[in-house]
Amino acid sequence: MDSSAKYRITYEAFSKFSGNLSKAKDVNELAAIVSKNLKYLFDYRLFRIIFLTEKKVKIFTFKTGKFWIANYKKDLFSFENKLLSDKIPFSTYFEDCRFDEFIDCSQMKNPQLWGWFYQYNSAQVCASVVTDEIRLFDQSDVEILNLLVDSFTTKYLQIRLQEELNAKNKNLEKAILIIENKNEEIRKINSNQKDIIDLRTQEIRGKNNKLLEISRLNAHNVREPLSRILGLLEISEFYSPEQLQEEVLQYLKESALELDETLKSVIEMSSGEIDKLSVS
Amino acid sequence: MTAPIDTKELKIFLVDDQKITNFINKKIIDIAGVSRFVYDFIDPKEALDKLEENQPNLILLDLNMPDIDGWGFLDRMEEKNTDAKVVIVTSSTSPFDVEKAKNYNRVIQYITKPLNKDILIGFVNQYKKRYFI
Repeated sequence: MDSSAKYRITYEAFSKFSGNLSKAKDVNELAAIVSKNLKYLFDYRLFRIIFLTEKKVKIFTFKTGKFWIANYKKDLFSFENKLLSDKIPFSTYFEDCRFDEFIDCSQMKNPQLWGWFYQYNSAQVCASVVTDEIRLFDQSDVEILNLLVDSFTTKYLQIRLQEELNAKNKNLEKAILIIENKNEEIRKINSNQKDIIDLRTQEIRGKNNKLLEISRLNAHNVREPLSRILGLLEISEFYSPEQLQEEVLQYLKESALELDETLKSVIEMSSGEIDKLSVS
Repeated sequence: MTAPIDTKELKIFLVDDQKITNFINKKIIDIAGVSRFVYDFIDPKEALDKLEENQPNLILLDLNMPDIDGWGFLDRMEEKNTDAKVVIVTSSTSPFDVEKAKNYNRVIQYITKPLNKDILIGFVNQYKKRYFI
């Protein structure tokens, strides 16, 4: 296949890959889409990409038809640690296979390891390819690999951002729920307070009415003998001293005694009933 | 001195459970020269029994009495053959009682004790003007 035909096919594959990539909603979907499309972009035995952000390490490992995701720095290979510190891309043949957990190195002919480092605003990215003469990766594939890393990184960071936003939203929702619960509590306390005030007001009003009744009754009872005394005084001038002595004075005495009795009972009631009814 | 009023045949009942009140009111009527025909009762029931026989023109009625109170007395008067008008004379200053009294056509005045000569002459003249043509 000549190189222009290869480019054309590869770029078509890449544009299809980009379209699928945009649909990924989480890290697993992202990895699955990359795993499915990778073989149309370049030949490889193993492809690894590492994202190092402020809080997280994410390591994706792909071989044909399979992928792994790891989350710890201890899962990094020593060449990857070196790459992260010196940031110098390399390509080297190797004899001793370090990738036993992913691939069977005995099947590979003349294995080769490539490594690249990329610096993004919020992440350090490190990509590597294991290849051999059967699945040959060469310099002409680097360009498409760079494009892949760029799309992968952009999408990965977007998903991470989305996840952080979701987590923050969840926290906010929790906070809102707590606030709503507190508001409900406050509302209950307020309404309880209102009920108590209403009850107390009713109680006071009732006592007030009873007190008013007592004072009215007292006034009436006191006025009864008093009005007689006043009446007797009114008519007294029309009596002779003898008549006064005989009739009026006796009635005056009777009425005055009754007034005294009434006042005594009023005072008694005041200290009894009124004390009982007064608001505590 | 107020000139004595021509009483013609004006008859007055005094209904109050207090003997002294009746004594006072009788004297005031005497002093004012309003009537020579005054009948006093400390038992309202007895007064009711004598209504038709004596046909009084005016009844001075207390409200606060045991057994039959002033209101009970007014209600029972409706069953009697009488044109007697009533003046309530009470020691109650309750606005409730004043309002209630307005429900009885027979009641021409509501007076708070003690009664005096001027008040007496006032409502007697009013009564005569309206009913003694």
